[in-house]
Amino acid sequence: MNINKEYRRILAFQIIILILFISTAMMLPTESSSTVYSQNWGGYSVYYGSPPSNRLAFVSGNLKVIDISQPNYWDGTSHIALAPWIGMSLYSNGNPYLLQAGYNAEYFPSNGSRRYFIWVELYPYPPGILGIIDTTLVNEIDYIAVSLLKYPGQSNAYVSISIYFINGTKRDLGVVIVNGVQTEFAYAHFIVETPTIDNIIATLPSFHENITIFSNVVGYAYTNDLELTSYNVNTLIAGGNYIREILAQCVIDPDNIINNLYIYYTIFTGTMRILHMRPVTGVNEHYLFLFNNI
Amino acid sequence: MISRATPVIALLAIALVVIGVFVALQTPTSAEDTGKYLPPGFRPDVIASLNRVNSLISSDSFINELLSNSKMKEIMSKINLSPETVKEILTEKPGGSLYTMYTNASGEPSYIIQIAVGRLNTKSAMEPLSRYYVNETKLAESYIIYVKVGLKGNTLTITDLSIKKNPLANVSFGFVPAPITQCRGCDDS
Repeated sequence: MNINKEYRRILAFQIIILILFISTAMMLPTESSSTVYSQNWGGYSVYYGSPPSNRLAFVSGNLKVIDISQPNYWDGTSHIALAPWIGMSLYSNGNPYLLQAGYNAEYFPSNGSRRYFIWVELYPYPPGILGIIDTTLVNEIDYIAVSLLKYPGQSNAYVSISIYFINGTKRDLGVVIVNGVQTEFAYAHFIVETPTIDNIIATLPSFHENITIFSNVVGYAYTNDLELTSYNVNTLIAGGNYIREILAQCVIDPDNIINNLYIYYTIFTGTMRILHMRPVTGVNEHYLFLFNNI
Repeated sequence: MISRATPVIALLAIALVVIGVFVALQTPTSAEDTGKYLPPGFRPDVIASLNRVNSLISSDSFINELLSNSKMKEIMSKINLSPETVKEILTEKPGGSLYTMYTNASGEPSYIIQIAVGRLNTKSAMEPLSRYYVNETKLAESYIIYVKVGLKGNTLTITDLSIKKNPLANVSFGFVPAPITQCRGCDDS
């Protein structure tokens, strides 16, 4: 009888410990990452879940506008350009569909001029231009706020662009309908890119200081066909129904621009992950970017 | 006197509290969190009017107004753009060839329709830009026609029309994978 009681007490204690363990484990963000190597993308992507049960609906973030200058390394023939952007995508039957919006900064060594375009692209279709940034204003801009919105079942998406200036003023560039979106999305992307111009990957410009490119990055998903639901960051579950909010930094180290280009991002738990960018040794000498699924 | 079962009950209570906290963290914490939500950067009235404009540009009346506009006729003649191609873009709305934009950058709310076209050589006719997938080919020329319109009720009125060369004609922001052989030793430590 006593043994039976003791056994039951131990069993109950073990069950409680088990419950506590499972509860704690479920509260922690699960994290699985895989690395994909690219010659022209650096940053990270977040997998939300496969449509149609899961549909990424909205991503937004602030993009720091970079005052680009000539590169430390340049082959003398390619363009010099950098394009930070935010996007949503889905790979379907091996084909990528990617809605992305950001800006493209180009530098022309021949005359020292620069140009900045705010663009949108529904890959694999060509990009469109949403606005031009006057180069005289570049140093006065604090950041560009970019938001992408896609309602499930609709064949269009919306992109909103606002420019925030250091002096505290704001200019809404506008909202555009992107037609022809024939898919739902599963990935959120936050990427710094050297674009492909005339079928050649551009050269990465250099910088005179460490730069934080992304901030206040956030993504939401649909809970049903009708409503887009906002959740507190702490309620978002990795691998669950809602994408996590992510605070991100992309820092390019000017002292190691040839050997390494770093992208830092901070998961909401405070974990810092660092992605190293290494040059590809080979014919084209372009940089090798990594990007992670979180 | 403390019962022998008291520690078990206490532990069960703690477990229930932990589970309760966990459940609370997984569910909306306030009424604002559960309601319909339009994300930052988007206004319901802007979305509604944009949808209306985007729908009206496919109408026969607007297409006829655009194609009969003298400046549009001049542009079409200059770049060898056919009325059929313009109509195709406005009705089929292919990705990459048509954007409908709301803007108040100049202080006055307005709508701008962007029609993007391109061609492989300067002697051929202009095609919808969407016909040329990025990374697939190199365009000889690409233009964006900007049609500024006003919306009154269900009627669109053309208020301005212009054409510009597309500076992103041969630019792509697509992913270029690294050759596997060049990734040996790479890590993300």
